[in-house]
Amino acid sequence: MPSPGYLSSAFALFALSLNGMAGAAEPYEAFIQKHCARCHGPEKEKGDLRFDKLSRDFKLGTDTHHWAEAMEQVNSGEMPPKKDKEPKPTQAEIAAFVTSLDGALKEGRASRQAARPAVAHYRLSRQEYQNTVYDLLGVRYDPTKQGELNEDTRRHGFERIGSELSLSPSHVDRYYRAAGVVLDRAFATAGVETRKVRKTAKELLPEGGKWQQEVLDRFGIKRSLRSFIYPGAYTLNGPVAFSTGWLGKDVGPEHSGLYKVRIKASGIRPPGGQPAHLAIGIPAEGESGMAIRLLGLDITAPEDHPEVYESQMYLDLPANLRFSLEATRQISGTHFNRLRPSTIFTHSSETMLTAPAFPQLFDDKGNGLYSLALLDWIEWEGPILTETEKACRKGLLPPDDATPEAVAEHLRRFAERAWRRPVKPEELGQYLQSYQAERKAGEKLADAYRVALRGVLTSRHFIYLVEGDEVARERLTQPELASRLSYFLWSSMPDDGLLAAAKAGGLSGEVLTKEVERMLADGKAGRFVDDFPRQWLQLHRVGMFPPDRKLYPNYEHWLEASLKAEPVEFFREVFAKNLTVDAFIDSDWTMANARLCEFYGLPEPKASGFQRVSLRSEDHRGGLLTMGAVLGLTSDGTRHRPIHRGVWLSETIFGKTPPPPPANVPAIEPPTPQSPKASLRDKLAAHSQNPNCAACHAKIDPLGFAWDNYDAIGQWRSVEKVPAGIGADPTINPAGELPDGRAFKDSAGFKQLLLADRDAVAKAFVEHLCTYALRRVLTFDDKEGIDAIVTEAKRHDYRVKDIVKAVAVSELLRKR
Amino acid sequence: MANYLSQSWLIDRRHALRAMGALISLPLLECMLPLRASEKMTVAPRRSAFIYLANGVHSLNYQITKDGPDYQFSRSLRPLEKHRQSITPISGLYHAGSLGHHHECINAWLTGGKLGPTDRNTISVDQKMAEITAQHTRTSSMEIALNQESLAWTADGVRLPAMRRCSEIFASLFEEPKNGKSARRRELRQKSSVLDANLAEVRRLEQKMGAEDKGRMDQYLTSVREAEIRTRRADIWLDTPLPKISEADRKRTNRDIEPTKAGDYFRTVYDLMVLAFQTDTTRVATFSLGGEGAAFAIPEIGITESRHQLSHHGGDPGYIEKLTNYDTFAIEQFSYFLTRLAETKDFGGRPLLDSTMSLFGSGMTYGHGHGNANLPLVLAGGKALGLRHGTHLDFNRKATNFKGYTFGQDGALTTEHYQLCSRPVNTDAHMSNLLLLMAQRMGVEIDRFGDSNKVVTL
Repeated sequence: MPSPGYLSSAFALFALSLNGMAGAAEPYEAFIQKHCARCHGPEKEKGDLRFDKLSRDFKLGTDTHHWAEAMEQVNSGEMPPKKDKEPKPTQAEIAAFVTSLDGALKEGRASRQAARPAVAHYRLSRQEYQNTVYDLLGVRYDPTKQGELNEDTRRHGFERIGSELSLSPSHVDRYYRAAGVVLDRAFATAGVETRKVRKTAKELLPEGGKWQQEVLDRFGIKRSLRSFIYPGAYTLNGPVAFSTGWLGKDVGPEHSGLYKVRIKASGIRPPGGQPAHLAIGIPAEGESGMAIRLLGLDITAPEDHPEVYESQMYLDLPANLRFSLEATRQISGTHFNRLRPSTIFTHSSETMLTAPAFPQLFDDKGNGLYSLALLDWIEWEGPILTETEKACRKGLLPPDDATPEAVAEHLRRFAERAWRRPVKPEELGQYLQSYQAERKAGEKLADAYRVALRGVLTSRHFIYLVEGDEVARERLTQPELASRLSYFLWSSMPDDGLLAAAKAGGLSGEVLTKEVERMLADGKAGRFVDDFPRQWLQLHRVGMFPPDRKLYPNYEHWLEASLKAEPVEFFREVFAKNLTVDAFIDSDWTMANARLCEFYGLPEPKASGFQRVSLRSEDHRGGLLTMGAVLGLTSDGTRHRPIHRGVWLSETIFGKTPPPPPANVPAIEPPTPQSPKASLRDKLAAHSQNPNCAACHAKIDPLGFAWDNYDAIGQWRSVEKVPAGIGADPTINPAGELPDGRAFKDSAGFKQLLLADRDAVAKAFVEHLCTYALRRVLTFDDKEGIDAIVTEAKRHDYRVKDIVKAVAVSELLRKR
Repeated sequence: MANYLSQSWLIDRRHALRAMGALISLPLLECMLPLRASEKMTVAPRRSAFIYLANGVHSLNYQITKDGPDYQFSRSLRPLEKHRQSITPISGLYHAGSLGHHHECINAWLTGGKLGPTDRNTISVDQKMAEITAQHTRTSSMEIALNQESLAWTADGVRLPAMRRCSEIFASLFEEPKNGKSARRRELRQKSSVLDANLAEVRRLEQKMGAEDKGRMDQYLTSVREAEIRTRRADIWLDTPLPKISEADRKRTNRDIEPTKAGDYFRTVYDLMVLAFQTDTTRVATFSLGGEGAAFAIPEIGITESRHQLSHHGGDPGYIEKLTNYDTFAIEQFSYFLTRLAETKDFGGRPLLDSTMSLFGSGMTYGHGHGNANLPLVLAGGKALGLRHGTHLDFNRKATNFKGYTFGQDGALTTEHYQLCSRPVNTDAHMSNLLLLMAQRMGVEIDRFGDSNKVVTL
């Protein structure tokens, strides 16, 4: 349905384009002279509006609401009035008016948004907070858990734009709480030893499997018992994966921490079905299914050759974890009810012997009917405290007999790390007062000192990146630059080395380049790979409107998680291998796990987890644009959305955001069941007929139509399934023409046209990186800085890691 | 609470006291006194509840077409028939700021703000009300959303987080502090001390900077200050015993319910709201039955699809039927809430319904086309606050260019009605005018709210 509302949400996300702006005689002025001034000028002043009196200072933003209204009216065809005798504006005139006025408005808005007061505050995102407390105190804290930190507001996918990250009293409460949790964890771990426990499948059975073993012995079955975990609607009675009591009776919250988990298991995959995906998580209270998934593994080892799978996770104790097997074909109804936790299982060939009343899980050839995981044992080891983590906490507390001066100095040293800059003693006066007040109230040194630490962690210097002084300056100080770099490349605070370099004033020239290279080589650069593509590609939109279960029965949680991971893993590979930006557009490989290979129809991979797999042209994949995640996030869960796809492509790949559509457009009525089936594309044809719509849609729609061969979850198809109407489902037509006239036949042809535009693609990529690094929207004033980076990037053939490096060492990054 | 905050002398006096060494001896200051004690319930408390149904309704089966007192209930609204004298269905209102912003309409529903990439939302009406009611109650306001986001926004345009689970809501209202009063008191003292230090730190910079644009520092300052005052008020409330909740009420409401039992879930949240009002624990509550993208399926009436999915019915008669059933179901549960309010006695012996205004509705009308004009809204209760009910208030009919509702030969509304649900026919009929009315009846002294251009009279 070409419903107008759909158009707007995507448009509401702006990206700044540095192209096509400025120029003395703006095209909108010509339009106003020709079509508006007669009624809204010195002679007549209809509606109290005179264009000659409106401010052209878009940066100041005094009259922007009038300008926006004017754009809206022209866009929707309300103005110039229909009964006007003058000639109507042409589509080209409307397009020029809307584009130029929209550009001017956006630039004005951007500069207001990017405005930096003398002291600028950029709040840490949730993710950055998490990383920072880990690097500061070696504490694992999950701010996304319910009741912890509030979700960050995104701007065009980016979670770290200063103007968006606001603060309410509830945020303050939550930061205060978080600081308490973090300090509790930092203090708690002393004296907790690591424990290890292994449970075999037999031990997991009720009463340690005594009865089951007796049955096996009676029948002379030599094979050992295995737990079989099947896809079904377990509620609380799913198989237990971990219980606090396993570690000992005395285990409590102080044993929370990082745990290693090893699982010896094999999997059954039905022919043509999904690989066994084993999840471990916390069951939802009073609900079926998992509330929190802590781990997911594709168990691809065959039944007779089980493997040991190893992973690690943070456990908040006490905890009770359950297994579940996630696959779309589930065992349900009476079959499900006949399965008991006590049911005996050894091997697929022995089910008739061990459990004759068993529901059928295998066919007569021994092929599985369902995806199953067969577990031999599970082992837990933890809490594991690494040497690095221990080092972070060393000397956190002053000794019990410390003098007030020693306490003050102790706190100052902590504040220097927490605030990521040199700290003067007098800056901590009020926190030491808190400490002293607590001592007077009778608190022990440790407890009183903890209050001061908590103050340092709720200070604006900790939760914000603070740039600037009371007197405005143009460039960053060395410590400010250190923070900017580390939050860009590590999503966290600078380490001691970087801070030392900053303190010595050396972050420029050769030293800067060396530091950036060191940072990129550090494992923490993986956080950039986790964070940047997620935000750039707006992956938070994946699954926002959950796909219709009837239309897409094969869509489930694990598929969604895998789809969401693919672009990130792909970016990781591109980054690690320092490939060129061309890979984003097209590639003969992708990164996939077993579930994705099954979804895309690729051969099953050898190993578990994500790996590089090759693609043939008939697979219809390659690059970012034909990934399920991208095609799904630009759909609405029911149908593909060509306009969304066009806008996403325009924003993400070209860094250009189309002007917003008019708000007040007539509703599109649903078809009656008697009308012939029409493709979405045909229904959207109205856009190209009405000149007011076509002014913008001619530039957007073709960018979306190219992907019509992919449905709302990204599956390849050649006909479009239309729910209502009569006749056959329409065949897909993915051909089209770019605004510049170049034609394409389908998505593969479209990718070729994009590859020819690699300069534009690379430039937009640089702009997105800079927005991410600078934590603000870009303005016209940044153009020179951007161009310099692009030139440098081109010298390196637009290799992605080189581009990131060029941004990091750029002049632009050293400015406030 | 902001009315406290604007009185900077309050803080200053606190600081003066601190300097004299009287660290926690504030309860005697009358401004900090819970007015509940001084008020002695001579004036019945005023209360408001807001309930949001995502994705609009099936407007063809929802629209009431006759205005005035002898209107006929539409199919979806029929469950409210028994409350006829206590409700006013309202047609024709819209939020100018959310036109064309489809699912974002939930963000402006209670704010009347502008939506867009660079527009910051404005305060929601419930929070505006909480500014004056918070001083009387233990909890300033209650935000509930069964999934996705809450409806409430601060003056800085920051959305408040929501509670979801019934046990969580119950705990927030009626649970004793975990390790006893003195441990709680110590916690609050430390928190106050830390926040005070944070404030002092930022004030120092503020003084140095003079009148310059301080950007986000101001936001930090107000937020910390508010959090600090809340901490102190929590301390004062520690001395007031928690309201007694009967064992039966506790059992019924302090439990978690699976989303697959939507009816039970909705009703239990309504029960909790009644309890919160009845015990005067809070006077303002917002309740989103589910977000625009994720409102529950209702298996108990055969609906296994999400509400968002049903709303994009694509003309499919089966989906349209289910959407109508869903609307009716949600309205039935709202009717339950009104019944409970009517049965429950307020302090003065009058029904709670009379002192409680409830607004039920959506920010969307025609989900399939994301139309958000002619919003579906029902205002109920609040007779003691001067609301007069019993009529269908139709702003469409007040527009000179309104040509009447479009009926087919079968007497039902035709799909042309969708146009009315997408483009406002009465462009002056802002929903903010209704929110303004409610705010005024709560005692908030404002004459504008959101994009109001006058006030709705009722």
